[in-house]
Amino acid sequence: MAVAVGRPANDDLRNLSLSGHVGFDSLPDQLVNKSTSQGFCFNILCVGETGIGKSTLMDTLFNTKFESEPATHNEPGVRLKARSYELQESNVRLKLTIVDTVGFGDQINKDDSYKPIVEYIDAQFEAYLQEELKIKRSLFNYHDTRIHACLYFIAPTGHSLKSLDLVTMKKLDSKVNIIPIIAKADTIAKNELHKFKSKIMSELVSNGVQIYQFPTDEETVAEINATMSVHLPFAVVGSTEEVKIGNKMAKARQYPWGVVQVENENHCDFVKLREMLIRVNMEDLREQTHTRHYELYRRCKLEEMGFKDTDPDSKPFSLQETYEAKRNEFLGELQKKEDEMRQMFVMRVKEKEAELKEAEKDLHEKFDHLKRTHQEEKKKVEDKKKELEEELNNFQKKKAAAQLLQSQAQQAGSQQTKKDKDKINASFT
Amino acid sequence: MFKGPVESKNEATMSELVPEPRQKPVVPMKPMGINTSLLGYIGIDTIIEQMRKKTMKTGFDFNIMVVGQSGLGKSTLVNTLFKSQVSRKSSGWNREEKIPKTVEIKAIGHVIEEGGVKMKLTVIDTPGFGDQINNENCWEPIEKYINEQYEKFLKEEVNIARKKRIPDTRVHCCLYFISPTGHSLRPLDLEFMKHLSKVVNIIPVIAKADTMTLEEKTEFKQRVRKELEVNGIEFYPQKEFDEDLEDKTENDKIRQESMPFAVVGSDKEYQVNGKRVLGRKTPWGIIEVENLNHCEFALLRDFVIRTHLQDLKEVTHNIHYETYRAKRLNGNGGLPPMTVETEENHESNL
Repeated sequence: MAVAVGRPANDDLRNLSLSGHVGFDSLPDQLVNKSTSQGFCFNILCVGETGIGKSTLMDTLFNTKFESEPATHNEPGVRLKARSYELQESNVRLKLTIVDTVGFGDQINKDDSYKPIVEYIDAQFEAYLQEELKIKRSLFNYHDTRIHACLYFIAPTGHSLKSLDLVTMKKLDSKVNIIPIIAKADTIAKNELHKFKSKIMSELVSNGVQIYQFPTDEETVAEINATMSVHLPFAVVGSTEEVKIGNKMAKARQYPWGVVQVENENHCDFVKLREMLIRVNMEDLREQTHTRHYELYRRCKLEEMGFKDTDPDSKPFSLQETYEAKRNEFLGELQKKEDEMRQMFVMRVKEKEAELKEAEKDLHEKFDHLKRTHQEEKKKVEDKKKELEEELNNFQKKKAAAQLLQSQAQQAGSQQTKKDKDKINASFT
Repeated sequence: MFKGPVESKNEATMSELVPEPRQKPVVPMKPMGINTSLLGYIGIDTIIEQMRKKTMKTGFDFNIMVVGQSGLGKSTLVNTLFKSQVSRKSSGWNREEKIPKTVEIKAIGHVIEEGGVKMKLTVIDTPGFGDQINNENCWEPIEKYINEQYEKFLKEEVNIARKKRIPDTRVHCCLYFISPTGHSLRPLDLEFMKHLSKVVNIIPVIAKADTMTLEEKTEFKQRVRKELEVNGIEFYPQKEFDEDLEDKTENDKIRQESMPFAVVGSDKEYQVNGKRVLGRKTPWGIIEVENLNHCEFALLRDFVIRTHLQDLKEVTHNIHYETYRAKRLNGNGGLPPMTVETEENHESNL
């Protein structure tokens, strides 16, 4: 049956007005309900030297004591340690994964420090890509392990960024959302802090490091994001201990000369960080990771594997065609390898055969030689035998002759004796 | 062929504590893992607001298809559902146009907004369905159209440089109009639904329900339900996709009592008891469309739009589309472009 398929009239989408309440404004709620029942994933990567306060800050940020032991400084290399936690607030379940860089900045030679971090991030992207490319896949159930935010802890030297920081951030900026923060900010005085911050930002800009930009495209968050961006990098202080301030208990660090309150905006930028990271932009961080960083990774990976979207004549390539071509190539290579191996095998066999033939020939020769020797010996023995026989014959002849003589002599003797006897006898008579 | 770097770089530098991507079970269990209790307000629940804002900004796509013989009131019903002139007939097509000789697929797109939520609604009409003398295989063009949309989406998804938001033209919902004969389903109905319930969400609807009395309606619905069950036709909401007990009980109720919805459509308003209502005026009374005593239109509307709209889209995306994709990548989709044999193991994931 012939079929005429009309093209969806996308060009002239009509804007219609509704004459009554339809009810699809509940759609965002429906969507959100579904997501809530599934739970959310959020993965934070903390990059910073040992002892700079990463674990403490995480504890402070999420108001809990995540069990972990402080790392030592003797790590031979940078290791990534990931821990997952389930947090729940009202009806929202969050699967939080905190990835720590253990041993970062401790080695004498820090050339390769950034590598394990980049590898880890790539591995998470790879896992997602693998799942996405499967034939039977379940993306809606997938436990997303991709890093959504990277908190980069800058040491509070007061001068500028360390070269390790610059190198690492440069390597990470295209893979993850970087949020730089100044750790242990209570060691810097207020006036120095301002100079330090501007130095850091200008260094980042001049080195072309792309840090995470708080989104300003939506009116509700544009304002707050814009004001907060000015304070980057956030100078934070973390503390899980509570100190009595006035009549309340607040998270703070107690010094002989005063108390640094974590949640006091005059003392440090912790509140700002919490606002930005969790309360305003968490969803945007997740989205950026998926739509920008992951897509970039995916594109590079697929291009690396030889897939293209369009061939030289700019006709769209079906992925399957490309794959078929690759597969044929692969099979062709396999075939070639097989042939090669077969040839080698044949050659080896020939060699072995030749060897064996040689050996055989040798053996034959030896055998012949032996045989000849044997023959000669035999002949010698025969000759000797003949000699001996001759000698024996001679001896026998001699013996026979001697015996004859002897018997003759005896006979003569006995005749003589008989004669003698007869004589004697005769004489008597 | 796909030896990802994960395998080769799984050395000592990669933490052994990295959790494997855990497959979350379909029925959500109690949260496992280290359940830490919170000592103060963090603000995690604001993510709901954040998500809502984002989705409102991007807007939604919804594609609904109406299938049935001509004259069953499909266009009117769609207009009533979305309270505006969204059907093909109203978008500048001639109302008296001839019945087409073949099944045609006509899709019209609209943008409607309500409460800050923008929706791009596409109504796909199938004039000519079941109208010929010989209706053999008249579901094929429809099935082909649906698969083409899946194919389009797949192509986009498989691109190297992908769009940020892939335009979704897949059919999320198919309203199948059953003629109110009062007896049982026609063979054409059964054939169509049997073929298409596997590729798209079908919601059977009894059209022009004002031709039946209440008793006739209940009996007819029972018979239709039975017939659908006997023939193994899984209409939406499908039993096998019920996620948890709550869903199951809710959906069971709908499946066993309300469906198929017996509806009446109208885009004309009349005055009843001082209120303006949508209805049909007859010499013996006014049939109010949104009155639950008169017909089940309100149930259908609430079901499709107010409670299950997102679910329709998700079932289409997570199940029907995935089935299509799996079939296609396994090479026996039988659809354009060429189907090629591909190995079905780890080596070749595409």
